[in-house]
Amino acid sequence: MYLDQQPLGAVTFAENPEPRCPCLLLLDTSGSMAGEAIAELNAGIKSFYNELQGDSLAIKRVEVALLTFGPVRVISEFNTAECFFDPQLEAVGDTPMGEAIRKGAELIRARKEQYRANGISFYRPWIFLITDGAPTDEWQSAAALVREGEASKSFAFFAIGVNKADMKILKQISVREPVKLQGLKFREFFQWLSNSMKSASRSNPGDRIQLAPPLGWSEI
Amino acid sequence: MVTVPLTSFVDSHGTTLRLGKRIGSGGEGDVYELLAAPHTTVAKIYKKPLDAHKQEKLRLMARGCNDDLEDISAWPTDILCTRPGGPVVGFLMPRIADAKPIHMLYGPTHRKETFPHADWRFLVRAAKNLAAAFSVIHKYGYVIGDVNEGNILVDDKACVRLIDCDSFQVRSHERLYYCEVGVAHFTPPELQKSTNFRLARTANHDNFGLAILIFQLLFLGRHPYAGVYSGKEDMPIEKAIDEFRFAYSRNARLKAIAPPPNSVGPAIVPDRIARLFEDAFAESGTGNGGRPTAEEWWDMLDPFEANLRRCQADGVHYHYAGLSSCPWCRLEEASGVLIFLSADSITKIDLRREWQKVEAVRPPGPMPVISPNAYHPHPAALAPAVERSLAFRKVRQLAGAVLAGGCLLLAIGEVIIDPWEVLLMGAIAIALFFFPGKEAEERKRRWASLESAGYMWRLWNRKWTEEAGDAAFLAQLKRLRELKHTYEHINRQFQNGLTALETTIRDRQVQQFLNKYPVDRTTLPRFGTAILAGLKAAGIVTAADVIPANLHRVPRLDPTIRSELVSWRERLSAAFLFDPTKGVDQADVRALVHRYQPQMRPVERELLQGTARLSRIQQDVIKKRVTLRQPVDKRAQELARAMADYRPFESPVQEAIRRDIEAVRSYIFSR
Repeated sequence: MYLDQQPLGAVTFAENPEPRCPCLLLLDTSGSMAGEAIAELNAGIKSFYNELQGDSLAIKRVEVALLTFGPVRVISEFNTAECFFDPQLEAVGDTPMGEAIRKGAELIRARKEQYRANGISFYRPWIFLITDGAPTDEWQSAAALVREGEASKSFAFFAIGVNKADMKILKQISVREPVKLQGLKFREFFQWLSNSMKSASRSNPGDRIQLAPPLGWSEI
Repeated sequence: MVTVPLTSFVDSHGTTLRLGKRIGSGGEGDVYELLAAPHTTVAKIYKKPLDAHKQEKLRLMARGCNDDLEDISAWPTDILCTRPGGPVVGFLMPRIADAKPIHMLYGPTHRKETFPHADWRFLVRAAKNLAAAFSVIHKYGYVIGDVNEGNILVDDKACVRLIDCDSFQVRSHERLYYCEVGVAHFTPPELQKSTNFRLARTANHDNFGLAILIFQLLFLGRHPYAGVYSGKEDMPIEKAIDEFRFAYSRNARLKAIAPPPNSVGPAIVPDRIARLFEDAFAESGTGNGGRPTAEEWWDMLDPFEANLRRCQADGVHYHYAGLSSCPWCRLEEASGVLIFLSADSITKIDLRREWQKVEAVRPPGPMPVISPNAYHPHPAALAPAVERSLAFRKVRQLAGAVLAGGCLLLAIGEVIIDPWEVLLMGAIAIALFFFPGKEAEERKRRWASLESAGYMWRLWNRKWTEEAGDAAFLAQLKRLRELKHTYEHINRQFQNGLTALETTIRDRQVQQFLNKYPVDRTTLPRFGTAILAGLKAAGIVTAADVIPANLHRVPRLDPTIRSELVSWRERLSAAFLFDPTKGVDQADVRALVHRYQPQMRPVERELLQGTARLSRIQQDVIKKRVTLRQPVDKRAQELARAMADYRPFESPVQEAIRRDIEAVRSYIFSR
């Protein structure tokens, strides 16, 4: 119904001045994800949005951006869940993880700039990297970016490995311990993520990151 | 063994109460309807056993319950135990129905969806009622403690209800029952640093949260501490609270913070209310009793309600009467955001009435003609010497012309061939023709006054045409006609959308109706089981399924049966009564409204302003026709006189030459 183009930015901030809780998903869509994995991932993202939409505060506060790699594409800029986006990702290409992380960090930086200019308060952004392989490009500089971001508290970076993901490299990229997804339990993961986002979006922002233990979807 | 949840409990009088269905669930407990009074009373049953301290707190609260508290909150009215004299496992409270969390009211997006009729009066009223609710809690010595956007509800009459009362702080003689929770965005600076809330909280702490919420209600959901910070580091709200960076303060600049773009703040309320915000958010507020109390807020907001004025350009805009212009118009203009909606119509004006206003403006008609040609004055008399000189000039010029003509003839007849002679005679002719006589001075004088009269006339005539003419009026009328056309176009699209919704509603109702008539229960005689089975296989179960596509799928269908089925369906359809009251889904209508209202808005605004402008133009023209007539007329007469005065000096040849010289001169000067 809402077909009219409405410019994003200051306008939506005036209509919805709630503090924002940004969450960036870096999704591996390399060829190896093809088939069931990508289908499950799509379904997971859809249910993630649905969950957020069902929560009257989260829908105003949580902003999700989608970035896929293989090749690196910004599928959706930071948006509240009102702007539902069914991405229908396809799995093709290689795994330029380094470039994806650099691009993601840039997205976060730009979004924070917009928040600041518009007097919008925000929680510490979360970045979730989901991959089933190993980077095919230069990733050391990206790892340095992640360390720097974590140290300066400009974002929190989490890595999730799927199937044959190279957990050793993930460990070198992420300051926090990477987590291995149990099978293809993307839906469970996104259920957990939306719950975490919902509680984070109404928490006392502060510095502490309140994540429920990753139960039900991770191999722990 | 499966534990069946208990459904009956005992209250403090030993009466057994039975619970109905569960209507809510939270981290601490579940909420059930009370079977005996499901509409007025609900019960909260805790999931875990309560410690003695908490049980005592609930007993105290229930004992302290009164009508005032019950009116404004879900106050515990009685405790519940599993057996008489047993531990407290829950409590009864008034049911609060049809109310929404306050953040859905103060946030413009949610307000437009859940409180579509709420204008600023509604928001001011909600703020006042919020203050009233706080004041009741404080009056009885309780402290809310955990003030936040989720545990305060507002209904569609702007009445405020507090929920989660069991977390309130209760004081009984020497004992204090803490409120151990809090939300940072509503926590006062003096408590920002505390890691837990096991401390005595005061009404003054609550009053910080109250001021925040009133601010958010009045100023479109903006948090008073969320501003544009000019420092380098991040400035989350709790840090800004801690550092007293109230973004809208008079002293905000000293705190390196400024209001966000496209926001409104205390500038749109009277000074006395703006001052309350300053007091609530200033360093001085941290001292006990330093912040405005709920009662003080109420005392300011109550008379303020009488001071609201409806915007003339936009009927859903209400604002403080002390402002010179409507802040919402300005904000909507600047931000492009529709701030206040009417929920059921896309337009806030009645086009027919507006157009009547347009037609009521009488056109000023074509401009009355004022022209120098209307006057025929006699030229001013000439002095006798000048008159003689003028008469002599005519003779002289005639002589010059004859000489020149004769000279020309002689030259052509080659009688005179010496060029010097030609030149000499030509010079004499020119001298005779142009040599100024005694009349020259008078001529010059009259020429100058003719020029200046001409200049003045052109000036005033232009003014007259522009200001007393009807060109501007007609142009504005044309613009209004275009706007009316656009308005009608958008409205038609909207109405078509509504009609489409209604048609589908009708179809849906018909479907539902026909679905109630199964084929196997028709009274039609010839339908044996075989036929019925064939129909069923083709998907024909009820009258609703009797459609050509399905009938085609039935093999070897007897044409008479076929036509009987079709006419049966037709008979049923004819008997169907459309119930328009069961109408359209309101969410669909709202979606339509929200789609077309933003398109309509600029059109209707320009229409309103344009109508006002049209009558202003008309008034102006009528006025100008009166005030300008006299001076313009004077200039016309002056020009007529100057022309008449100059007429004796006019000589067509001379004039033509003079005009040429003038043209060349002005050409050169204009370069």
